[in-house]
Amino acid sequence: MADIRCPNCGKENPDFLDTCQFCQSPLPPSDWKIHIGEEPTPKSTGELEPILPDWLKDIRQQEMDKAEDEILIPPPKPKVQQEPPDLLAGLMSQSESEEEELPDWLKGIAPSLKKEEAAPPPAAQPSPPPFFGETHPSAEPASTGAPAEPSADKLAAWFPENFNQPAPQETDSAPSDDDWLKNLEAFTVPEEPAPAQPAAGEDLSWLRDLEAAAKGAEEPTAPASSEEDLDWLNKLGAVPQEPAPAQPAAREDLDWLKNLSAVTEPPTEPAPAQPAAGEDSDWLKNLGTSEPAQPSAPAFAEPAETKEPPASPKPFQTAPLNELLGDEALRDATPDWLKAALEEPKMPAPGDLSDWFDRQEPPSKETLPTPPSPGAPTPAFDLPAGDSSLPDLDALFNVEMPDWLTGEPEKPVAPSPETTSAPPFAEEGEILAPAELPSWVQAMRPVESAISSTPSTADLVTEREGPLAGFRGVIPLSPIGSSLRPKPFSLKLQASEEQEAAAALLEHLIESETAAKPSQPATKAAAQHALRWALSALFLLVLSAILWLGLRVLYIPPSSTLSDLISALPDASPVLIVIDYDPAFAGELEAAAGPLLDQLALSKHSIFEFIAASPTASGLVERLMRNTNLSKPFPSGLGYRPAEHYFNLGYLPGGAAGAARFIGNPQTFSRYAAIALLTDNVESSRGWIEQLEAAGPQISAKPLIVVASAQAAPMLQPYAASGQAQLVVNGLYDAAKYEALNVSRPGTVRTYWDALGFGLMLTIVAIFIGGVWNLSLRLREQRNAMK
Amino acid sequence: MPVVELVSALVGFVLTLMVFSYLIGDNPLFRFAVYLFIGVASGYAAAVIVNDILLARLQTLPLTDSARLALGLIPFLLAASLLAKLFPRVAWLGSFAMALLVGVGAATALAGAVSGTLIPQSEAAVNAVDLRSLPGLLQGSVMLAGTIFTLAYFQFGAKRAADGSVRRNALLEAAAWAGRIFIAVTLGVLFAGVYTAALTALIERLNSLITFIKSFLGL
Repeated sequence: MADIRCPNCGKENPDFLDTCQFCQSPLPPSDWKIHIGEEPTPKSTGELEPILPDWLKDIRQQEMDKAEDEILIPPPKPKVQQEPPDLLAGLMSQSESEEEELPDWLKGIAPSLKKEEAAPPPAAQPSPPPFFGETHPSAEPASTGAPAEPSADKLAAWFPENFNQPAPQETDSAPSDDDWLKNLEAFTVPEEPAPAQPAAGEDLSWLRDLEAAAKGAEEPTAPASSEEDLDWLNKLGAVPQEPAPAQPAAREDLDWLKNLSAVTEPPTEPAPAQPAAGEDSDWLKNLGTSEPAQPSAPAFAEPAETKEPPASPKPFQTAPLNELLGDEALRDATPDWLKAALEEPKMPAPGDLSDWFDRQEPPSKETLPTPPSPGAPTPAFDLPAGDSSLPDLDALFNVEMPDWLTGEPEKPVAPSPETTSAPPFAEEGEILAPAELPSWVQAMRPVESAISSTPSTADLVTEREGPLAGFRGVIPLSPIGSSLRPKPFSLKLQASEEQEAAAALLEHLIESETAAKPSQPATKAAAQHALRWALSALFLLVLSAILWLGLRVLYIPPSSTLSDLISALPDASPVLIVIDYDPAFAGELEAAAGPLLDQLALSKHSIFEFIAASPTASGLVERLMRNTNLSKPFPSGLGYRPAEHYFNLGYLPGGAAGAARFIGNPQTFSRYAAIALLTDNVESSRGWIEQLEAAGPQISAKPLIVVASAQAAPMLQPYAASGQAQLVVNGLYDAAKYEALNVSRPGTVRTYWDALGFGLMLTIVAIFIGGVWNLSLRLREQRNAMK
Repeated sequence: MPVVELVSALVGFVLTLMVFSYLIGDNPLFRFAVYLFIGVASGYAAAVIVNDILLARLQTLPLTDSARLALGLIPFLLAASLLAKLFPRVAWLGSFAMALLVGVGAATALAGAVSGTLIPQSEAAVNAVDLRSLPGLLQGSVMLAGTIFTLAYFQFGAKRAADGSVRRNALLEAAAWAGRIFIAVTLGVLFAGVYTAALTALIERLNSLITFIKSFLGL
């Protein structure tokens, strides 16, 4: 990603911003893009010569000296043992990919371009540059062994001479820095000598311009021998005999740098295709003729027309470079700046480029590989994203490199998804001034339309840490200071005080509902359990002792109210007895109703008709008659027999309505001399009293005796005070008085009376003691609090 | 002691002890006894209803008189329609019977409350004040004061004071305070009655246990 310097504040801004992210000043348009219809500006690269490293210059000088004597000797087949590192293996293919206005020194390294008749004709090219006039397959047929044309430029003349110069089969000299380059020449030179490409007449001034832009005024002038130093490039320009039908244009621009590191397989393995440098010239031609958006086949792919077995069964080996570390001879022949690249990377990569090569099936000898169809071209290096070779390349380019090699990699016009995985050193080229790029580099830059439609790999950041390390563009970038950034707005809720108060109240209510109440301490709970058990045991022991011993020590004041009421009833008259209590209160109500029933049966020989106000009450009739000794035979009981002395009418459904209907039948209800209501429920008994009152004066005039449980009697007492009920027997307390007057018959209340009396006294004592204990505790707490 | 009485007494003794076991906390014995009581009571109630209500009414249907038979079948139809309440789709079939039950019950209760409680109790409260005797005057005065004060306690009408506070009238506030005393006494009496009833039930159970033990021991 190139930066644009703000003319106002002088700070760097991303190139995609229209305004400065610091001062909001408008930024000048990026000038490195080439718009549609614009012609690239020719640049002179001759000034780039001074920036070449010395070792390259030395090598070139030596090779130039040798080239004069050995130019006509065909180069032998390269030996794999002497193969140099694959750093510069693909350099020629990349250099040949330049379509127009190649420098003279580059024109001479592509003699195989004349043999382009084997390659498919390129797409329509409206106006090929002069360079293509010589290199385009349609313009000039291929010719083998054609001598290089002379050129005015020494460098251009030097290139064709050295291009066909056979490399020595084995290096006799001691290992040195230039040995690896010699080996490189040896394995890249094809079996058959290829004609040198005549120079187009263009000098290396664009390189000088580029160098001047990079170095500025600091660099001195170029040395006099700069043109001869390009001899090393002459070797790299050796091309094979057969042209390659595909081009690596679809790959990232730095693919040609990867090709530099490609090495061939050992010669012991037969290979059907030889990815020689001459194939790269083919894609170079296609680059200028084919559609830029179409990816091309690998540069090392052999065309279908090729009949000769390739020199190497596999394409260039690009990674891992560290495998070469074991070769001591190669280590010695490796230049210093390349040794660093061969070292083991510190962080393991998620994949390995060599794995890709392993997965590729080497083509057999019998079946020649078919050239990739134009519709489905393949990239030069089908590297997956996050390939392991990238770290090696990173290390490779961390060494001292010429500025023009470390320049901004060019983006393909329409990169395929694979091509988006650019090596991580793509960002390092930002230091190269875009305006000083040579024309042929500018021609490879993406046009504006392609940039707008395809994602730029430069905008994608390669993750360096974490599980996404090595991946590019996983996390999209958002430009800082972009005008597309949404404006911040306040999220504070605008609420009035009343709304806030209501919200606080609601929050308080919710908190109080969900707040756990503090549990009592275990010691306190245990103490309460012990107290409860102690009181229970005390009550059980006292009551059981009183009942067991049959104590009858408490006095019972007799009352004649009940006797007076009963004495007014006619003899042997039917008495309606309403059973309106649950079985749980049967013990109390049976004891309370005992004196009434005993006096009625004993003194009046009344006929009892029982009716139940609840379904379960109907079964309590026999129990009542038995426990009151009425149904017991004489002399322990009164000998009352069912259906003769008493009748069980069963359950009366309907509650108050049923009672009203039962009371409203004068034929059945008028015959009762009295009504006795045995109840433990206030509501049901009130309903009976109300319906009797509502039935009319005749019915309401009948005596009503209410025998109520102690829990219901206080609520029914007003009806006795109002005269609606002649008598209300309040549990055992009133029953004991009536029983005492009746010579303690039937005696049930008397049995319970002492136990009840002592139990109530014990309860009062317990309550009092508990109250005093609690009061003392409270006082002690207050005293402690005061202290 | 007959065998039936002995067995029933023994069962009652065991069940009583199981209920008493709640003193040491909730336990399976207590729960078993409670569930047994609930089940037996429910079953007995159902049996009583079927035997004393449904079958008894069906047996009394006049099969020869179609008009009376039709009238006699109406309660059964209404009762059967109540079963439709068990099924949501046809629950509306029981609405009429349910409305009839509620309406008739409310009307009966209202008429009985007015004629059997409201009017007689009002008259009794007035008549309780006997100006001819001091005890009658005191009793009547206490009853009247208790009634007025208790009603005043449940009077929550108030006006906003000058300082913004909402308080009842001072006289009404005093009457409400006195009514609170009457209410407390009434609730105390009710609680005492409940406790007395429970204590009586306990005594009855203990007496049954002691009686069983004495009879079992021949004492």
